[in-house]
Amino acid sequence: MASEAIIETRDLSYSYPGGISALSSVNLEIRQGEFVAIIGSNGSGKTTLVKHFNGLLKPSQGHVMVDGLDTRTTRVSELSRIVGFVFQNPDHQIFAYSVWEEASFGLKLHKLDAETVEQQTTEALQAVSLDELRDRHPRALSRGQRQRLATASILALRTPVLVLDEPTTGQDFLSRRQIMALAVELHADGRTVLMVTHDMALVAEYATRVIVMKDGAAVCDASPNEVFKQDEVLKSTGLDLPPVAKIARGLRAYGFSDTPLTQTELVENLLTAIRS
Amino acid sequence: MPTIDIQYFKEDSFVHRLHPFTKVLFEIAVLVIAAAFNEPLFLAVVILAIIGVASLAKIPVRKFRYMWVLAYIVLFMVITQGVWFTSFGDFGDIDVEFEWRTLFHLWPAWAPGGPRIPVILEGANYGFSLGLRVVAISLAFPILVLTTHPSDLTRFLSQIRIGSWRIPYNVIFVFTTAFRYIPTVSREFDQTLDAQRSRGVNFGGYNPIRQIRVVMTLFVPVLTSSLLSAHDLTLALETRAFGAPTERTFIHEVHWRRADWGVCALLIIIAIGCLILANSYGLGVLPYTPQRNI
Repeated sequence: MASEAIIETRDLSYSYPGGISALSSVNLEIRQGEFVAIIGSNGSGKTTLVKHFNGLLKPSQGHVMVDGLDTRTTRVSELSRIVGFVFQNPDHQIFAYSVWEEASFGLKLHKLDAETVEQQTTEALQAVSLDELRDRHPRALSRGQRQRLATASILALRTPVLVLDEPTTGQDFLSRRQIMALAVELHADGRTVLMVTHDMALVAEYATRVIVMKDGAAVCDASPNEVFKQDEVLKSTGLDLPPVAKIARGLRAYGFSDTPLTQTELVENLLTAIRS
Repeated sequence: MPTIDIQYFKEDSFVHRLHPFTKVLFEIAVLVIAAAFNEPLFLAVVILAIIGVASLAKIPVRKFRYMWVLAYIVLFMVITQGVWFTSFGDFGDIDVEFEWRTLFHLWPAWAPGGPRIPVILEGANYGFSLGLRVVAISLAFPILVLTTHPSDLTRFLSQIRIGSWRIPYNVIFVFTTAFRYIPTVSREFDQTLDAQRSRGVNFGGYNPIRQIRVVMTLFVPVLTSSLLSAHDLTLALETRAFGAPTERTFIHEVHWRRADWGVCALLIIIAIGCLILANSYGLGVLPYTPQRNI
């Protein structure tokens, strides 16, 4: 199961109307159960790439296959059952009069029976700890809560793939933590998680695979460990190493060669190095 | 890229260099000329001339992409006029022998009680001309906004004086801000469309009641965020002392050049010429134009 490709792009190229090229022959294979971080500077084509994964954008050239379906010929509403897409700004989707109504809207569209709707919505709201506010008006929520509500409305659909477009931008430390804990939980649950982000610390801590985008091409596709070893690639894309990796880099001159990803790892590695 | 992209873009063209007043006069001339004629062929020439001006201004075609919506308006005009045209009653000096030509029946002959509801060729033609007027005006209007820097427009409007009366700056500000926000709202709209489609909303079905519900999911977020951003804008304005009782000055002055005299004179001559052609010689006016002497 873990090796099956759920999203595959073949020679994917995309130009926006007006001829601005945003993606050029991207070949990727996202397997089930991966936790992929897509990083790159602004305008490198990250969001354009993920918008192809649920058919919001159709390739100018090449193909995108989602669970065996060609996105060119499949409706977005159909692909929305496979790929859940959480947008950066929750205010672009919230329209209902209550939290519960907003979170259950997608399920109702899929014409499920009332019981399933109730159950899946409640579970999704619980996952983002908004269940107690289910009768509240969404506008009465804080920005962080609205972001979580938008996430819940996608979670309720129980899609095997989840795309998070810059989920932590503009969020405080606590909400960031909550969102990431949720993503980790979903990943542990066997779902495929794709995350577009600038937050290198998050990438280091959670992702199992990193795709680096630059000028519309995937310039690097490897584990976080290996990506952080390639300083030049990261530098050329205008990205910075996560703090932990930076410290390790600074210690290189003193014979320290590891690339730790988390604080614990760094501490452990340092201690073993000192002790030996 | 927003769907509706009516925002000033920098380019060095003859049209860009013209004074805002000249361009406003162009819009007025288009209004007058489009109203003078109602023969589709003449209006087609007017539309071609407007396209000529647009290409002179080096406006990329994609800026007019959203104009396909107008096709629906034209179609609507053609059908409604085709059906109801003859009920206008008074067609002036129309020939006694004149007979309406039926194109087809909306309720076909093979249907029970048919054929009924004839679509009249002349009516459809008249409806087509009304549609083309809308097209002409809709094509001409963005040229002013696309080729004039917003602050030049503000400057021009604040220069208008009638005696000691001037347009209040608040009113001018509202006017120019409205233009500035068209692309912003359009972008919001596109993003909302993406977000709702991603959760399975299917736009463009055939069930009208469902479509109304579906459209709600678009308009509520777009309207709320527009209202909220308008509120933010008022705060931002007040922190910058908007409405302080001083004389406003501008860094950029707009200059009236010799070319403006020429273009204005030409526009006035063409507009008056068209009016004379249409009213005195009946050129470009359909022989069966309904008379409305109110």
